[in-house]
Amino acid sequence: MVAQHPLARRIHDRVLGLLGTALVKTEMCETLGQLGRQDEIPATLLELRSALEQTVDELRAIMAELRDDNLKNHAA
Amino acid sequence: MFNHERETARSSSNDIRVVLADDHQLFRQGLKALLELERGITIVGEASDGLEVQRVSLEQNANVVLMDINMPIVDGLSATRELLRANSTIGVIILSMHHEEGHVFQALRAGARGYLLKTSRVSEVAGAVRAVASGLSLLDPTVTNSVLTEFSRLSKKQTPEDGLGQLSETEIKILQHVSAGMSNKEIAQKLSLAESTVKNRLSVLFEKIGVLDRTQAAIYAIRHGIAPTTVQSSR
Repeated sequence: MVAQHPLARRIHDRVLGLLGTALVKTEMCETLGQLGRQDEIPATLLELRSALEQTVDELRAIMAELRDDNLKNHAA
Repeated sequence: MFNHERETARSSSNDIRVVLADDHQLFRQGLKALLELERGITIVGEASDGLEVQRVSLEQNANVVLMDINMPIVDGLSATRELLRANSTIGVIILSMHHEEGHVFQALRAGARGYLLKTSRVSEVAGAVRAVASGLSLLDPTVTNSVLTEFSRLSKKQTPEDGLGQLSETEIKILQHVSAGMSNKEIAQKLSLAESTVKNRLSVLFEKIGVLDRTQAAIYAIRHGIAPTTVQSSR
């Protein structure tokens, strides 16, 4: 495997992984609507929201870490 | 896009048996729900790491495995290699967020017959599952270009004969001494170079003429008339 920066790995494993989940959930909502299974859509939308919220949290944490790194680099 | 056929999809013994391997449970769950609506496809197992996928795929006699790259314990590429070693008839499709060519090439080298990005629609994933199950291969259009570029680069790669013209005077001398059976130390003394320099120059030389070691280099020198006469005549 190609060696990755820990932050790059985290962006892939967490952020992109969550966005992949969100994409599948949007497609599920679309499909459920086409199949007339509207009653199942709200639960899927909740899962979609959860995936997006986790993505936001993860991005905030990564940005905070990048800021810390920047400060350390400037101080050095 | 989703028609009546899809809605009434029911599993049968002729269905393509698919295993999903991804450490994101919600992703697996969503993909499973959508793929199960597809006619002729049955999800026979799920795995959240690279060891589990090997066990589940073999136990469930899977036809196709949809495999993520980044998974705990054993990554998807190693899992692909191991799985195909145990059963080469299984078709592995890598389903990843990685679009970098390095990952694509590693996946193909590991024996994967398909490479799709997770941004693909499920209808595309289902199409890939059907293609791979019928013995075909399939790449995501966004990575195809880099594969074709690499293929073109490899096709244009120099042959050993092309490399001969690229050798410098010193490299030709080193090659002659190698073919005469001299060690790096002896060559270094002969050419007034550091031993480490000879070692480095040899690596470059091997690459230029397309050989792997000094034995192959010596044979190359003899075949191309570069070797000292005494060596050539002794063969």
